[in-house]
Amino acid sequence: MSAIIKLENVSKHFGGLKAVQNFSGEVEYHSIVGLIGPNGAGKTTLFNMIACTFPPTSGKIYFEGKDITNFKASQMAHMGLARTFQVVKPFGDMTVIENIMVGAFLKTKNCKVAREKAEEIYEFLGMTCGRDQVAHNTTTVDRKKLEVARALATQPRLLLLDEVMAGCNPQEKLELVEVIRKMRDSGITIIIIEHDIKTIMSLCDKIFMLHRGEKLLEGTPEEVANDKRAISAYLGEDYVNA
Amino acid sequence: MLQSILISIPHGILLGGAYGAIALGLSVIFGVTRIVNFAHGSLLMVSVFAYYGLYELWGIDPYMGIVIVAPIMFMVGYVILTVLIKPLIIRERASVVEPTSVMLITIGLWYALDNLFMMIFGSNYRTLDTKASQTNIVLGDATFVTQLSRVIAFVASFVLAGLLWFITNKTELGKRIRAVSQNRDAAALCGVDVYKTYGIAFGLGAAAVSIAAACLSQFYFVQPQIGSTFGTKSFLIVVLGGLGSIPGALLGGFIFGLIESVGAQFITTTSASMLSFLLFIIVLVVRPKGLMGKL
Amino acid sequence: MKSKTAGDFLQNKLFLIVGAVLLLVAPLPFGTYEQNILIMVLFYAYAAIAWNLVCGFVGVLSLGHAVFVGLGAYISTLLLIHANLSPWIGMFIGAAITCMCGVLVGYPCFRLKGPYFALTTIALGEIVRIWVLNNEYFFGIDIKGSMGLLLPQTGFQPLAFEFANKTTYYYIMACFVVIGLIVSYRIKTTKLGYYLTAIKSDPDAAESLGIPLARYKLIAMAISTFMIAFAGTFYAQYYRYVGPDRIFGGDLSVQIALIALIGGQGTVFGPLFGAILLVPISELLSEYFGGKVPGLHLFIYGVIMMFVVFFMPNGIHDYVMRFLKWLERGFWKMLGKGNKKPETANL
Repeated sequence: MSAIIKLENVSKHFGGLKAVQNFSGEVEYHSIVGLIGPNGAGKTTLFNMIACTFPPTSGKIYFEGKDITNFKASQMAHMGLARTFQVVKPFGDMTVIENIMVGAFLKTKNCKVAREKAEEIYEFLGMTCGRDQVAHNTTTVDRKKLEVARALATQPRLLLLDEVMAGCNPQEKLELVEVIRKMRDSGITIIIIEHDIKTIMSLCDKIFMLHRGEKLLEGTPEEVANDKRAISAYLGEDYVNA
Repeated sequence: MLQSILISIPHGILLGGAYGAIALGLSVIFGVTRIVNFAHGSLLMVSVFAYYGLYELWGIDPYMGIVIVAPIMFMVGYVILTVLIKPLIIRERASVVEPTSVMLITIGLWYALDNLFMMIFGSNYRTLDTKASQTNIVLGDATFVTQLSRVIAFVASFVLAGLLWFITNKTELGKRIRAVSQNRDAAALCGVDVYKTYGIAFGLGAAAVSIAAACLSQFYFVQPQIGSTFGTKSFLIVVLGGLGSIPGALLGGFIFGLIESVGAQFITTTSASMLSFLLFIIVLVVRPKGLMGKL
Repeated sequence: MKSKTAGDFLQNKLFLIVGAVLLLVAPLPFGTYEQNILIMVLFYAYAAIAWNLVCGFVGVLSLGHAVFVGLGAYISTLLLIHANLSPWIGMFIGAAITCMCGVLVGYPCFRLKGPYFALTTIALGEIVRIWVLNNEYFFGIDIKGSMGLLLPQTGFQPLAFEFANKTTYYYIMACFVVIGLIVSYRIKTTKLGYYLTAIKSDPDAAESLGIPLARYKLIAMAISTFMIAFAGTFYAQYYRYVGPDRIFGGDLSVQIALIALIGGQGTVFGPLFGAILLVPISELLSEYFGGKVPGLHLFIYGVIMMFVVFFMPNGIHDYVMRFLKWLERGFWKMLGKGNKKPETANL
């Protein structure tokens, strides 16, 4: 079984709004998969269902072979699935290290161990804001990194990154790309939602494109870049190079 | 026995009308600003004392007194929002302060106002002996007797509800109020001065409760404790009827009036109030929207 | 500014030592009137510390916590009166039962958002108060309704938690306060504390990190209600009388909440500072104005509350800590060790 996550005909309706319709797909272990599409296409909704923030209206989701369709959000971290939020949610009054520790406590009861793990991750991500900086006094980029760090501290096997690069300048984006590659190399599968096509193309092994809640297409970066439907729906004519 | 139960029903409905009138202001404030104004009962109490003062000092009948008191209470409400609450909302949006701060400041205001009046006037109750409170309406051969003031309160609740409904649905101001209550940020982007609208809504709520106070003062005691009693009751009513719903406030009021009136035939009034609280909790836990709420 | 969830051990031992000494000698130079005030300060401090464990740490606002005080008081007192059971044992039974009630209440109510939760706690408090006021019997046990429970006076019975002089009561309450502070500190600096702060800060993010919200909120509630029940027993044993109006009353609930909030919710020493500030004001005011100006101390509480929410939303805690730090620096300077920079643990 090489798929860490499998979605079968997943749909989500909010009243009359069909946010996601019949989405099916698989993500292989140790891959980096991109989820792209215009705003409102249903990307974050898909993430929310995978992370069990809310259940799908229909369809099934399998994580490492287990049916997690109706699981609770707080169970997912225990199962090895972590996520970040599109609008970052730091624990404002805690310091950067303490934020990461909250994630680390998933795997330990011990304060010292949690702190060591938090320090480790802080180093791993190359974070530059002060360790003891109170979270609500950090810059956007540091908050994005903090969001990732905190999720990483739960030692997930699958990490969902929701627009982690939004608001970052090109240099910062490069840093994050490095970090994502490092995480994949350490054994984590990553699904990433991004609008920066260049980054997605260079980073991902496979891309899903969503359009109005439906899977428009799925394929490698080359396939997607050359697909006429993708170009007209989202990428634009200038995009032929991966 | 059956007869006394039957008679208690119209009594309950009359009482319920008054309750509804009192709760209307709270419903409006909450519906628009999402602020739970714990000081609502205190505003009622202050208004009642104002009418008492006007009547005892200058012989002004409370219904006439509305012309003086309601605008003043409107200003009071506006000022409370602008001076006390607005800075907290602004601060809260910067995420430095817990969102409970607005709630806490209205609690502090509640305690300060109620006890201030307690200090000044003591807990003895006074009554307002006006024409409306002295006149009785008699139906049948004295099977149903009630004060005129209660009937007026009942009618007033509909008038007040209608007035508030008209303001929120048929005026320019009402459009702004509804916009702000549905989406604060979008309304701001459309050029609506959000805090001014909040202030007006708060003022309207305070004015509404002061009108209800004019009615209440003529068939209930004038004492500082009524602040807490009716304040708490208003919350029960508004939650039952549905926060933010004007007809809901009236409906909730009627239900409460009935529970108290009919219930008093079977159990003591204090026990009946216990049931009201229980009903309140059940509604909140089971159907937080209340009967007609839109939230 | 260091965050409030300091994980480091207490570096500033001096103010603790001074505090401990003050705590030990405080009642000695005073007469019974002042000692009563000191005991009340400690009582409210302890109750506020217990309240803070759920409300400050988790971020909910309970305005009905007096119910749990009353439960503790009633259970241990009833066991004393009807079963001749020493309150020293009775208080644990009271605490256990109260704890279970707390969890039962918390379970459906924690779903409610801020103001609704507060309103529900007020309603619950009123329900219990009114019920006890109007009922003489509870499953056959005589609870005396509105008359309240009167404890037999014998003067000096240490085994029955009855002492002749106030000093002993003071030291007992002091022990409770110290235990309360230690529990608060231990929670804050361990996983439980971090999780609770996370839940308070951002419940969605907390969930995504694997924190089951309900479970941790209930744990906090259980500890809080367990601890506050002991305050109830103490109250009964000290005043030798418990009546439903006072012990289940909304005023008591609000006072406890106010003291914790004004002191600084979510901190270890906050509630203690709050009690030290507010209780003497309240006691002195009732002494001087007592029956003449009813409601004065509550009025002052209300005004202070508004002031604090407006200008010092985190309570007086940070200001007091800064002041103590300044004092300590001055002290070391005076001793000629001017360069030492003591770290006040941010509790």
